[in-house]
Amino acid sequence: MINTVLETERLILRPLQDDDAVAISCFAGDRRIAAGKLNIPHPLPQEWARRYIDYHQQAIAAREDFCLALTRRREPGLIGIINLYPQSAGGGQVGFWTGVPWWGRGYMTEALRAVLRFAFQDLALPRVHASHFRSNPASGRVMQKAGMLQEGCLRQHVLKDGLPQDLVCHGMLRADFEGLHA
Amino acid sequence: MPEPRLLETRRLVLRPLQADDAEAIARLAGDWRVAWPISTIPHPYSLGRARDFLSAARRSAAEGSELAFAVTRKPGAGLIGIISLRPQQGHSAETGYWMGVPFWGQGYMSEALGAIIRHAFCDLQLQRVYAWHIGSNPASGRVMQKAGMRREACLRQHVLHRGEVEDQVYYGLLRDEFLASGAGC
Repeated sequence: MINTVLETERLILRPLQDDDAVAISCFAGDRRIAAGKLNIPHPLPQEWARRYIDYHQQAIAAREDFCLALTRRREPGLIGIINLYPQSAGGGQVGFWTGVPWWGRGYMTEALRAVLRFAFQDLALPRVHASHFRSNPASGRVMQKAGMLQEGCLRQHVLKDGLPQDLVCHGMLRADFEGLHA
Repeated sequence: MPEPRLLETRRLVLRPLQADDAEAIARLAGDWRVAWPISTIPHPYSLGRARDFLSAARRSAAEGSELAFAVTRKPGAGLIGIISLRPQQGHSAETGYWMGVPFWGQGYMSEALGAIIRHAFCDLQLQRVYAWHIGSNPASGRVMQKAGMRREACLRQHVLHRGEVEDQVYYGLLRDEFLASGAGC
């Protein structure tokens, strides 16, 4: 049985709930979040958050991906999302965002460390991959602080709102994870 | 997306695939040394499967999703390899290729890749050309380097290749770099 509630010093990561829709619309609807993410449109349609929650509730029940809400221990409510989903070679890929009011406090680094531990220890994945736009270096710092290794930069590899974006790729192998926690 | 046309280099002509290429494709790509690095090439490679490939390639060319060229040597018309270009969102294109073993070691593939890069930037007006190879096939990376592409990333153990997990090594070239190299359109 895989436990999909992960606890860290300051956070509880848990599966999405129906009543997360308002917080997701509010935070992911901020242009500063959408600008850094390939799959978050701006403006964000009302229905987007609800469809997102429905999809990920089914996917986590089927153990197809693990999309978790970041919540603070002492206060209810979603402040961000981290999602671990399968990648074709048997590894996982991770994506995340933190609501703007909670930037700069290390919450996502804490969450990413917990998700990496979950990926390697509970799911026994061989590798976790993550990428970010070069125009969004804060995401890269989170990946590096969590111990992921920068593996390269695919220049102008994707289009966001019609504009080419460099994609900086990070990875962590099981051996890297074990080395960090030896 | 226009139909593929003839691309010419010093020693080569790249032309659209044609029905009577099936025999050369089955024979040359039927060699495991050619087939192995490209997971979409079946092994063994029968004439029937080569014909299936040609039908699929015709459909892809008509849709504009993939333009495959036969690599031929001047002055003959016989196929010695294949190189293809998969445009993405009108901005970039991924390229992939193979060359028959009897024609290895003579620089033909980097010459053909140079022509495809020129076609992508000068004719199709794309902004980026990229390619990747599995870590166990560094020879393909040398072709990319010789054609002026830059190594951009090595995604460790990122791709499943014929049942084995492999490093995925990416190379790319941007339009500005191509023009700055003095190649010009």
